[in-house]
Amino acid sequence: MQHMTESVSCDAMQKALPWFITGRLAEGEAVELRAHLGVCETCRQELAAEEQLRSLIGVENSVELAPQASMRKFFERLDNLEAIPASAPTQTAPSRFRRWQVAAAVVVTVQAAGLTFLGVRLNATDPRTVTAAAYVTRSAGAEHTFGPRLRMVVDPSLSMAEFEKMLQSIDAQIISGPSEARVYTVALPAAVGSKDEAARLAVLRQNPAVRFAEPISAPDTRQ
Amino acid sequence: MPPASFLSDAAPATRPSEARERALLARIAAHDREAMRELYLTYHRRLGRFLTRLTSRHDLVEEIINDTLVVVWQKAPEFRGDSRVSTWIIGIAYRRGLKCLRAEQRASENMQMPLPEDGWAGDESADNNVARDWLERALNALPVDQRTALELTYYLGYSCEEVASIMDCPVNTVKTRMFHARQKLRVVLPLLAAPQMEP
Repeated sequence: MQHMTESVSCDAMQKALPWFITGRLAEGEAVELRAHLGVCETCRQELAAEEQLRSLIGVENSVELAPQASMRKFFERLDNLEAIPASAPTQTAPSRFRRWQVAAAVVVTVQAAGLTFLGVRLNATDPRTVTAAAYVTRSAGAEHTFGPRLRMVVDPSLSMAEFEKMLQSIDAQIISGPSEARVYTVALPAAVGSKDEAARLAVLRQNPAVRFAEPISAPDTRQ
Repeated sequence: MPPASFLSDAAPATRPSEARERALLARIAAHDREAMRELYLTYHRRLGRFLTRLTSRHDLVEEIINDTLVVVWQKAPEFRGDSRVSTWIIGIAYRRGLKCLRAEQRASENMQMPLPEDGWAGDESADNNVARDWLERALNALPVDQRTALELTYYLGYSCEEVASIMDCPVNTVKTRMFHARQKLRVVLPLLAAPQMEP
């Protein structure tokens, strides 16, 4: 096919050069470009300059990241996605909690002001808080009676599975958090008395991953 | 000479790998974890290569990778096959990470050293390191959209149409972004070409 290549826009030709160089330009366009290059010195020089640029960019290496740790976290997230709230055999609120679905629903029943959830995602360097931002339980409709409450902060290296296990061992559940300061509010079952509360608090504090755990002293319903 | 990393990453147009990925995706849609594991390993590497060329924050890269693959897990049943599996997944990663990447780019802009206007005199061995440094700075100074178009084209070897699909924009926009990126990098070229251009 004959082209009046002088009238073909050099601008359009030059814009297509990168894909011509990588061999990913559509055949029709490539044919046209080759024909144009045959008669246009300017575009030939452009091609040479572009090949130079491309070879230099390609030399810069990217980092290869080992996938195992990330993959482990990934499958933990899938577990959490599929976690079904347990049909509660106990008199207290279920000790399982939903995560991503809850985050999507964004319903907070705890009367705590000023907690940010998804907003912390991109700022937090703690990978666990990305998923933990969804850690707000939603009481299924009716109000629940929570027992004594605690505030706690855990080490970022603690996985969600381990955190959950720790809370289950004292029959506690997260009722809000993490806040921007990574503080969780945790509630014990309603029937727990003060001696029992102290014992359970001690269990938490024994765990080296627990940086901070304190009862919320006033028996109020506010955060 | 094409970059070795692109060749070893299995060019996007390779049909066998596309068929394999579609088969994996079908299994993933049925919640087959083994299939997800296989896809995860492939795409952790591929997304990692792409994303680490856009940001030096490895923690962000890992977060974007996992966020992306969670979406893949959830949306696998909805994948209609009107694009390649890889362009679909990389598009999710790009859009997912866009906010992070733009914030990161703004942060690196603040650390930007001015590029030299003329050549400089120096010994040859030092020249190479300094040259790489200028290229790195020039790349970091590009707006995320322009850098992405550049990396997808030159590093991952996608066609213009595929880049448009990944970046969810018209083909002409890709060409324009690429053009601007190239023009900015040309400033650095005379420095990189001195003293001897590598073939």
